[in-house]
Amino acid sequence: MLIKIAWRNIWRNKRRSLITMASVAFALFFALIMRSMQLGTYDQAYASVINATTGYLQIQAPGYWEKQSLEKSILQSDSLQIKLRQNKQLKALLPRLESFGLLASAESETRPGFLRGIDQELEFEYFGLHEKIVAGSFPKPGQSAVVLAEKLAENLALKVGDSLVIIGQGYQGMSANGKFLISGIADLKNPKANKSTVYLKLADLQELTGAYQRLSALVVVPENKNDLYALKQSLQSQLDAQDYAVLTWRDMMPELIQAMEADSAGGLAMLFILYLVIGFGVFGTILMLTSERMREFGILISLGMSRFHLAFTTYMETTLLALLGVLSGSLLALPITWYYHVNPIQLGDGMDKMMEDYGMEPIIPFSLDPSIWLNNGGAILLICLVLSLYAVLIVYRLQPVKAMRQ
Amino acid sequence: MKTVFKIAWRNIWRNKLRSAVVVCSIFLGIWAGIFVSAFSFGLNEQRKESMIRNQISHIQIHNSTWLDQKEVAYTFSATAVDDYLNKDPRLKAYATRSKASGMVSSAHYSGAAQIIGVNPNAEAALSNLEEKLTEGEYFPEKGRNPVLIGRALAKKLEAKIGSRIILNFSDGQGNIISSAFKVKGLYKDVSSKMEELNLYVRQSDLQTLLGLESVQVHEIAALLKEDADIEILQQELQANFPALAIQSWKQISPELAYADEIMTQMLYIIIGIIMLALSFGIINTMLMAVLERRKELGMLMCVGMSRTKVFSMIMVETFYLALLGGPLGILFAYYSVWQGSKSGLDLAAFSDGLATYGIDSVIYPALPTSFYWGTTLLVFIMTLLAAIYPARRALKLNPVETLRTI
Repeated sequence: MLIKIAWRNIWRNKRRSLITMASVAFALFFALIMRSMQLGTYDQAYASVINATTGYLQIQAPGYWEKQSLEKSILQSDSLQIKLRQNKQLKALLPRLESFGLLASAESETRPGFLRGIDQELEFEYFGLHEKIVAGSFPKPGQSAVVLAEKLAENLALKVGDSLVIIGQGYQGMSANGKFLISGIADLKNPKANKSTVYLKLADLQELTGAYQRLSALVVVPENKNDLYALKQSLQSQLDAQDYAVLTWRDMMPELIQAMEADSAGGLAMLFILYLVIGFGVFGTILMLTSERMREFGILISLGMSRFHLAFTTYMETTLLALLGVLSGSLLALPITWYYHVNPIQLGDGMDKMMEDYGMEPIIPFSLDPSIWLNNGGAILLICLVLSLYAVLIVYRLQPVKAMRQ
Repeated sequence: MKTVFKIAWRNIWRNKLRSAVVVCSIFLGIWAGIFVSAFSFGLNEQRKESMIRNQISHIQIHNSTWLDQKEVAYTFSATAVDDYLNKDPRLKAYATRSKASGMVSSAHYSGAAQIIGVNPNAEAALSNLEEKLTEGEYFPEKGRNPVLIGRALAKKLEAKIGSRIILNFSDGQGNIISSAFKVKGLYKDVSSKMEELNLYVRQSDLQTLLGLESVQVHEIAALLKEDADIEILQQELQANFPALAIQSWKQISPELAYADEIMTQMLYIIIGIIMLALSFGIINTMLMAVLERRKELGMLMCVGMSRTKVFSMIMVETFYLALLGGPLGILFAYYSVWQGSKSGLDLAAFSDGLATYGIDSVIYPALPTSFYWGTTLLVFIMTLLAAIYPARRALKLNPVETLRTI
């Protein structure tokens, strides 16, 4: 009954209700579009980094990440792998060896490059590496060849079938020089990785650098991507901290995370102002709603309606109003975010360079993460609920006789 | 008409709380909106300044092939350009550079390196290199092959002042040069990526190693006193040296130029969205003010107040509200931006992330004065637009009918 009255009250002054709803819906709509775009961009950046560089989680020698030197490598041991595989949250372990070297082509072009020795089959299976090939292929079994990242190949003016000279420093100060056939070129979908990465077979890189049976890291593929922290802890408890360090991609990429957080903070500041302004608007409505009904409140109370019931009805009215606004705002934002989620915005002139500067692909996919809707809708609803308390306060403080005389 | 202004002024004080809510929302909305704009603007300016000062300068001159292939072989003779720039009073500083990309290694680490040969005095004036030193000496007279390295690189190489490091790079004729350098100083840059990549050596040392004459350089970078002269000088240089590639910072870093260009638009979008949110509140409040006074307005019309006057009365009332909130918000914003620009806002929590964008963690908000005027104009336009609907509503009232209602 009370809710019915509240519902009817909303439609007593259609215009006002509609404007209030529209303001709530507008704020939420804007907030959702903005957050969906921001968070979608971050997800994309994170996914590209995870996929093209570090993976989700790595087991390394302590101090490897700071130095990224072969001296801080771990021994490739079967017993360690068997031990780790007992962990149920762990899906796969990918051995990798990484090193720097100077790359040269026959035409005397030279570039510094990042050498990554991999177990091809595993990388295909868990990171879809074979799908990134744009020319040629990954080396066949028994063949000793390399795959270059697209931009790097372009800079060095190298094609499939050419040979690549690597001049580097190996394990324990040995020199690591070699010449390899280029069997394929891959687009890694990450601007930084695309400018520098060379994929070698793990055994080839081990031989080149003299780091026999050694690895820079074991890349862990988790069963559940959303609970890396728990996996990290359980792996840490399995391993001796003196010999092994467990790092998530967040530990390895603090600058990326902070850059995104700084950007996100800017967006949140904007939302805060928007909510503040909308809050005032909603408060204005509640103020009017109560003041124009003083007489009515007075009569109802004199007639014997309990203050609780009256307060509840008024509170329900504003709550329903806010709820309608939140619902329509959410629904309005849905098709747009959905569209750009499926067809990400492609950035053109200038902006694409800017994104690449930050190591991101120049596309903006929108996120459809339900938490964006829950958080922002919840925030606006909460603001409205708190502001509505003013109406409750008025009802409880009301002196019926005085109110009726107005 | 004078009476209209008077009545309108008195009207807004009839319901103080309601007027206060609208005035407050305008005031806070404008204040916060301008401050956020000033923050983004300041951040962008700082990034631009820092990039120009530290990395790209205003104008860069290269061999025209260099732009496509940054190879050691593509040098140009600095003599003529040097003579030209030497006497130009518009220049603040300029310097010649030689560059080679290669690899740096110590016993502990090896990684990619950009080796920059500089003329110590000219470079200090151009890019403040001397002031960036945190340890050691800036290219002392004595000693062979001095090198300045970034702090981040020093940590990886485990190098200290006096340590020897090996630089490997191509001489452009198919030979790889490997030469020992002595660390004479450590420098600090905004981003650790820069610190890791860039190494500074004496230009003459690098030229000797590359087998180049002292007039053969890869780059001349110039900093001007006035921004307005950049493009003029660029055109002059291009006319005098048609064989060389002369670029202004806008061409060297299109993403910076683009960010600079879209910044003002972005700021107006921010303010526009806030104003839109504000206008919902204004429309609603004024609509209420009209509807609750319908009897009074009907009476005024009955006794002969013209419709134009009723309309303008509502418009003026709204205008007064904006006049109270708007300028107050703008003044407060002006003051806080001014305060902020003196002391700066420390965002230490995001410092690493900001460093990837190439900026310091202390942000100095700033805004061009024109933006304050633009915002003032926008506030009044929006308020008047928002007032039209309630004012028209007042006109639609039927005087006789309104008098009949209770």
